[in-house]
Amino acid sequence: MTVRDFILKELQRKYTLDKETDIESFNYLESGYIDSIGIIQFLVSLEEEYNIEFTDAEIADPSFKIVGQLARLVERKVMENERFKAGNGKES
Amino acid sequence: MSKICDLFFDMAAKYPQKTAIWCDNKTVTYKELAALVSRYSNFLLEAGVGYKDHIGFPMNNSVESAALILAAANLGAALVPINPTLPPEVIKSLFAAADVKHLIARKNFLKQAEGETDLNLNGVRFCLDGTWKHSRSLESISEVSDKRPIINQVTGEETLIITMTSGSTGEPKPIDLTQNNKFKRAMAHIRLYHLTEDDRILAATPLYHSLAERLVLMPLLIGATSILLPRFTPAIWLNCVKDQKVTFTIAVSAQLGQIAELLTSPFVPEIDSLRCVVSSSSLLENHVKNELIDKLNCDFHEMYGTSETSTVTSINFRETMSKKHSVGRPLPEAKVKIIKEDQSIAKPGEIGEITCKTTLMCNGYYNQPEIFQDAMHDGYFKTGDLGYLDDTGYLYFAGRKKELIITGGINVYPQDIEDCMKKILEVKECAAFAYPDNRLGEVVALAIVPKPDTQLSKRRIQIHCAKNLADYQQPHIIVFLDQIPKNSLGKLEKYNLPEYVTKHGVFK
Repeated sequence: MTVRDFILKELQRKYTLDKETDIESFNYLESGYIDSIGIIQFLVSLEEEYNIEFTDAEIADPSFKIVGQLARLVERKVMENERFKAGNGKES
Repeated sequence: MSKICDLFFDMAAKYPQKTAIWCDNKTVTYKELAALVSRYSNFLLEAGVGYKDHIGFPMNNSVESAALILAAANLGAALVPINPTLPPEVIKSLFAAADVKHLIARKNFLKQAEGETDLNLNGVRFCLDGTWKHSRSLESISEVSDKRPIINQVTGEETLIITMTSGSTGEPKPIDLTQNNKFKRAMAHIRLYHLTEDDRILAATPLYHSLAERLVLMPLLIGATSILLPRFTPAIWLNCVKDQKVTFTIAVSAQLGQIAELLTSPFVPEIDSLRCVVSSSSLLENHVKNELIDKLNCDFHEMYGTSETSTVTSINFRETMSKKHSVGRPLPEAKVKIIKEDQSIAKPGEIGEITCKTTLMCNGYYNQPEIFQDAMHDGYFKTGDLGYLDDTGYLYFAGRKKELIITGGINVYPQDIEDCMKKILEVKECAAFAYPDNRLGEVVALAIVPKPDTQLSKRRIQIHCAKNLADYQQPHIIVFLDQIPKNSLGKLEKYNLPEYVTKHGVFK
């Protein structure tokens, strides 16, 4: 499952997104798909699935609310993790 | 007494072309809704849903959900609506407690549930939006007859909704609401707020809670229009009120707090359709109330009640001028008594437990009559809330006897979170408690005492909670303590915890 598909699965736990929705620029907070109550579970599920941790600055950035940009942030963090692991591997 | 479904079909005959429900930019007329209710009824009946069968339903706010409530009433069946984000193990235990036989769910839910926990249901599964294996599809039913099937057995005494007071794996208390309960509650509020067929009534809380169920049923029983909001943000709410010309709504106080905040910005639409807004769940601060009244140009009421009793007291804004901080006077249907620790009746001004006798009382806890009996005292339901009456009969709320966290208007039972934590071996002791929050009123906070010489991170706890608790139960604050404060009798002092953790907690 791609990062984008995982995000979409989590977003649609209560409501199915309209087929016409432009997912790339979709703001899941403004549209109420994730609300103040659901946000923690949404974040932690993403962190757990990809073994990453968001910083407060990342969460506060307006781009965090947009599906396309959030997916890219997750992919970047996963790659950084892998690079870090590979780097550590070489040293040991 | 009239039956819910009969009354709805009467309205459909009277106002066939009138909009019955608006939801997510989709409208259905009374005639179309009546046809959908009949088709669902015929389809469920033919698929094997019998009189008094219980149907589990991870529900969202949609025309289909509203139609299925009416179809269940038509068949004399019961719905067990649940929050779709509950973990499968919890859903299993809730469904077991409510004797759920059949399941109606979205494809997404069926897909997710598959391979996780066997929900142990021996009835029929229905897929609301498409097709899914081993399920009957409720999507393509245009061929099904739209002639309403009449089930002669239905008297109105049948359970219509079983709603859960606790989402725990421990002891769910399924509140049994019969068709007559729902009917009486809807009618009491129609009288209280003088609702008529000209009203456009907004429901903006989840339909798996009784508040929204009532807000949807009320208009459909008097030929008014239901405006059903699928998802809430203050901006969506305001735009919906404006565009849909909403005249009446009941919202939870946490929503109204967020709406008031947005109303202070200069770029909000002007609202001129609202006649009355009611706040439920907890008292609003005066500045929030003033902001709402000023900008929404409408009458304003607050109410106090519980899921078991429905609304107990009500107060309008004018009364609150002289009765500051009161939650109002009992409805004509209800009587309130304040009971002291020694079980005697409190005098005016004396604090005790708020108890209530009402004709709107639920039918009890499903399959748990002894637990419901324990919650009663001389025909009065013990609410678990503390309060007092003044000498003119106005009720004042003074705190909660039972430990409860109310986040965004949803009740969270600390026990559920603590039970979940106990599954982590490194946890020696823990306490879930309410922590004040500007947006949600309160959020869930969790104090943890780890076992000596163990490693336990906040992240591990968050992940455990994300997997084993519902969205509204997630702790927003997690603190590590060396010990949890207790009084001289060794009893946990939860009321002191917010202050204590601020001083002693380690936010890891």
